[in-house]
Amino acid sequence: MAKTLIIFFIFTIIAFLSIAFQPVDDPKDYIKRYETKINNFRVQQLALLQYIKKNNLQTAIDLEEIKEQIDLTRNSMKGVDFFLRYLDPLAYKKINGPLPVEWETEVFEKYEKPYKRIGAGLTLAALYLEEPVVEKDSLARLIQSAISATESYQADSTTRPLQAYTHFFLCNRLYLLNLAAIYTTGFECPHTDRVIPELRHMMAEVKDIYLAYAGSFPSTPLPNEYLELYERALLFARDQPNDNSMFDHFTFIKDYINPLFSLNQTYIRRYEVVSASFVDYSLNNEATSIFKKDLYYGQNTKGIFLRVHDDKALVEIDRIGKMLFYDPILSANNSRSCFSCHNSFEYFTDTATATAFQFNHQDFLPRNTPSLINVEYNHLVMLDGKHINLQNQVKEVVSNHMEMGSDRAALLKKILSCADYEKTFKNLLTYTPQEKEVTFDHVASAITFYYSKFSYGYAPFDEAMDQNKPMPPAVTRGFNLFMSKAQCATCHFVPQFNGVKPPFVGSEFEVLGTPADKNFTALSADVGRFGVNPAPEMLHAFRTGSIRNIAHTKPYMHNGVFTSLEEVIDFYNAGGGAGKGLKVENQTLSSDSLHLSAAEKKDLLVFIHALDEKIPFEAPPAKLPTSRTKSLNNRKVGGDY
Amino acid sequence: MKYILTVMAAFLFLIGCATKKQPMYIYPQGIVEEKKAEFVQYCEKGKVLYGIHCAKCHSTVVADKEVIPDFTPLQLSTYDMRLGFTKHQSTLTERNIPEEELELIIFFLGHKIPNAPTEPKKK
Repeated sequence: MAKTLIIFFIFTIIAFLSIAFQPVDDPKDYIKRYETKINNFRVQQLALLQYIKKNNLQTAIDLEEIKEQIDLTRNSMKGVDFFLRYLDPLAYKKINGPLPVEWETEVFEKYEKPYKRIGAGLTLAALYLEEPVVEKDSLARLIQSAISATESYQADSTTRPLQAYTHFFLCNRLYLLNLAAIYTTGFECPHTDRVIPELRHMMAEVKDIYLAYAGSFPSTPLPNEYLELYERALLFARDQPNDNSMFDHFTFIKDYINPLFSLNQTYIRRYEVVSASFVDYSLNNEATSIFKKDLYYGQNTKGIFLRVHDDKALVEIDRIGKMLFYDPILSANNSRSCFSCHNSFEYFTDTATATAFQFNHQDFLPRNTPSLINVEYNHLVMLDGKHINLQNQVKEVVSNHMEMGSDRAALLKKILSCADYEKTFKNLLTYTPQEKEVTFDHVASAITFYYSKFSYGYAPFDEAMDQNKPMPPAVTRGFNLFMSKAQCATCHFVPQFNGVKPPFVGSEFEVLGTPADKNFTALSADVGRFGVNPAPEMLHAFRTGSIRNIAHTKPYMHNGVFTSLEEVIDFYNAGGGAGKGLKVENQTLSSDSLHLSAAEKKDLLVFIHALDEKIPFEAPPAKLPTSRTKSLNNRKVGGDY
Repeated sequence: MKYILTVMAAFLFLIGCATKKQPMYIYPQGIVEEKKAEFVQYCEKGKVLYGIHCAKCHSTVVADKEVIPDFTPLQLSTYDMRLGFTKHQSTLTERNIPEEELELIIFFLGHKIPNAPTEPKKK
């Protein structure tokens, strides 16, 4: 009896202790740390503002002193960058915007006109110091805007997410993605020599945030496995050279950042983190690596067939999509198909001509044919971002009088005059109950579903990152140049190497000063994005394309003016159109030379070849569906153009 | 002849009366007659999509009939719908319901005839 009592007693004590010492979340200290860091940054900016007001900005020494003060302030900004970028990306543009004016259309704003965002803050202030004339008021205004924006991070509405553990893993995800894509490249950092020192400082500050988090949120901890790897990443960054062109970006991402990202994704899933922020809108919690194609969601490739998951039906959509892709029935004269320009033997582009024929088979179109591979990883489609989804592009190209010249209603009738098309689409109607009959949306969706299946291949570079497959040293040298001295990665962001940067919610446009001809006699007359969004900053701007597979998609630029990658690299090396002496008022590319040596250019090319994806290309169909209209049955697979 | 025509006209008139249904949706003010069919088509598409995506949680059954709730215009914004509710953050994603379809659902919900107010029961 006494034995039972003792056991019961011990059991009670254990139960009591386990309840008493169960970790309890209390965000108080964590939030306090946040508030201190934000306030430090604000105070530092106020000091900078006073310094500017007192300084007479006359001599080079005056300017140098202000530059030093800006660098100091940047350091305290880097201490809170982890929070700033995630909690309010719009306010961040006032603190550290890269451009005075940006026009944005983010995923959830696709139906709206682009929004104008005015940039301000430390990067623009530092760049302004390099102008021939520096006005005190203009400089002070850039800092004043940053101070006001910083104060918004002290508002309750902005700090509310800090009360719950969820925000932490989402902030951390964005931080890791930025470590891979921008923090080591000099993006939003005016002086290259500061990139790595700022990186080290930021990484150490984030460790401090990790510790504060551990103290406040013990029930959803950042496990030791993560913290140990992060510690090693800190040491790695510490031991790397100060010069970001000597920094080993490849190893940094492969051995540290990407594995940290994978771990953070497992915590997001394990702790069932849901986001209430548009920052996470496109990101996929299931993605296990930055270099997996499911990292973010760009386009709905299935269109109206979105809800089809049945394999048999998908095979049918693919079959019919393929047939339509090669079928010249889409054009008014039944001689031009998608394949005519998007040649499946040439990475779905046309490598033979700068720009393709017009429908009249005499004149040429104004722009180069883009490859269809990887287009789904964009939020806006076309070089000018005219379309918000892939299906709209199909609809326009068939009815554009310069391209296929069809009337869509008549075209649908023509397509449905073929028994195979008619029967297949009618059978598929059960999957689209909102449509009572076959529409052109069904046709367009089958086509986009078909060609998108070539966008899921991986390149040797991805395999090196994900599976540690060895890479020739020239590839890693080329990648490290790409990320630093060659300044490619400040527009072509890791991992798709296109104009979509973390958190992957918008597409970027750039003004490069692309010439009309190889001799740089004039700027290309094409207004680009300006045609869609007539803002002065958008004149001659084009959507940034991907670097993947470009070794196979010549010629290059919006007008196909360059026929080799060597010419493209020389163009950038010279500082774009402005660097080549053309008058480009609003070039977003620096007009300074990159000073790349012949060996460096070669390494860049080797790296670009390591982005050749393994794509399961297919042979065209043997024949096309037969139509009830006899005259339609002479059409050739792929057309005549 | 005149007699036959009159009978036919009367007959057609009667059929017209019999099949004339109550309007299912609130037409926007000033909508032209030719656009009404297209307008209804949009609403109908939205209704089907509502049935697929929303009805399971949002509709109720009263006396064996589905009752689709009335939403306020403030509730019917794609941004708030997607991000404003914890549950929607994992269900109402761009992957599950593209913006184009969500707009159709909103179109339908914004133009459907509101439910009759429920009378408080007399004791």
